[in-house]
Amino acid sequence: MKKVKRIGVIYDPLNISASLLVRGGSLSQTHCAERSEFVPDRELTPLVIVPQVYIQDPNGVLTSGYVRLSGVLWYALPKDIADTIVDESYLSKELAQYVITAGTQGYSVAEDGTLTVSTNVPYLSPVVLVFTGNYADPRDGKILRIHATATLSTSSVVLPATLSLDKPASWGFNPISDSGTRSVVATLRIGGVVPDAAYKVRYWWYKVEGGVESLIDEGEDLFYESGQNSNTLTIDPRYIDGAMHLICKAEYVLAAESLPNSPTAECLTADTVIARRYPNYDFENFVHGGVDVAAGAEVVKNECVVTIGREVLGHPAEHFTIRWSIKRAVYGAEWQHLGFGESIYIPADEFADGADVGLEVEEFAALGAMADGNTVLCDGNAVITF
Amino acid sequence: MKRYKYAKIPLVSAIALGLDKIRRHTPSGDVIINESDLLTYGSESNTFEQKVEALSGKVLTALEAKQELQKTE
Repeated sequence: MKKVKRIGVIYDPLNISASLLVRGGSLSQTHCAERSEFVPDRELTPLVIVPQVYIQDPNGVLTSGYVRLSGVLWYALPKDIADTIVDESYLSKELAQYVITAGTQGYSVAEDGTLTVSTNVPYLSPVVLVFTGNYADPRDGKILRIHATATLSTSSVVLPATLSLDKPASWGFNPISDSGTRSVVATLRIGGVVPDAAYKVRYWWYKVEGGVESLIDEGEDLFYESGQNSNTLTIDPRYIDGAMHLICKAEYVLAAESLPNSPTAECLTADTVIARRYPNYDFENFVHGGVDVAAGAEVVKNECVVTIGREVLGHPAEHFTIRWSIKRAVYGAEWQHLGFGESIYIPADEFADGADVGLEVEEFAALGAMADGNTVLCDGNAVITF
Repeated sequence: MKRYKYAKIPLVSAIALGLDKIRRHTPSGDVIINESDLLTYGSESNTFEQKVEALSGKVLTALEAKQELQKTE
């Protein structure tokens, strides 16, 4: 009779630390829909992950350090699938379809188990990377299955697009002191940056008259000089009667896309109001020699003096229509028109029985055009014949 | 949002930085890297542009980097 007793060494379990070292890139990305851009773009600079497994033997039989694994597999699982795995078993048949192989687009695994991800992860579609490998414990030959996970996710940023004009909300053109044309420059920014060649931008310029918006017409709108469909509108304010409300509308698309033919409801807008207006001024009739005309005087010179603040305006007739009239100091007399001009000489005998001299000053209206049949006469003596 | 930048640097510079094996190579032999790759390279006060210049490289936009990778020899 023989009795047998199995005797063996019992080893304490190894302390194993498995980590995924990101050597290049980042597990998280940012997606900018406005630019259709991932940051960083893994198609340009891939994500490289190196699995590292460190062991420590509590019994001191094995030297502590990093070890190589066999049977290395990487999985790329949609996060919702990964969330259903409760027992950390990645060997089920259902998950086999997610194993990264040589044919998996955007992923590659090197011999040493290094994973290279050269695909971008769409927003709201995170991917869980699972690394698995085997380590044969040299002390007893038992196979240890090791795994580590990392999640690839993408956040989204919205870049605010803005359109601004280089003119304030309201600005003026002084017909007396100002001259020449004026330009209004529109600037479109996406995320605070003027778009580069990756975008196409189109501008439209509108005017608002009587509350109605309409596209500025090169042929009809005399104030228009140039710039429709560009970012710079040039106008001649002398043709603006009072105030003109200008609106710039802009659309932008990625370079590969097509711009609309007209602004959509979602277009960017910016507006400004230009007012052609005279400054505050005053005027008076300066009577040379005074209002008490000396006997024997032949004429009395009346001169229109226009003042702006403390300054006397030279040649006021260049900016105002100056009308003279007279009314004799008798019962029932009517105002009698004398003429136009900066000054007027009135025979002294007109004042023999006393008379009032009237002076009217009227601002020039905006420049315009007169039509006569097929001919249009514009200010500046330009004649257009149809 | 600031535009994320890329650069192409000579292979020899990429090797010195340990980036040659983890970054894509252009057909002309340069290596495409990104801003994050140089975060720990050189002085902290240096900009990405200055670092790329020191590596004899050229700063690129994402679009330009894509074009570099697609170029044919």
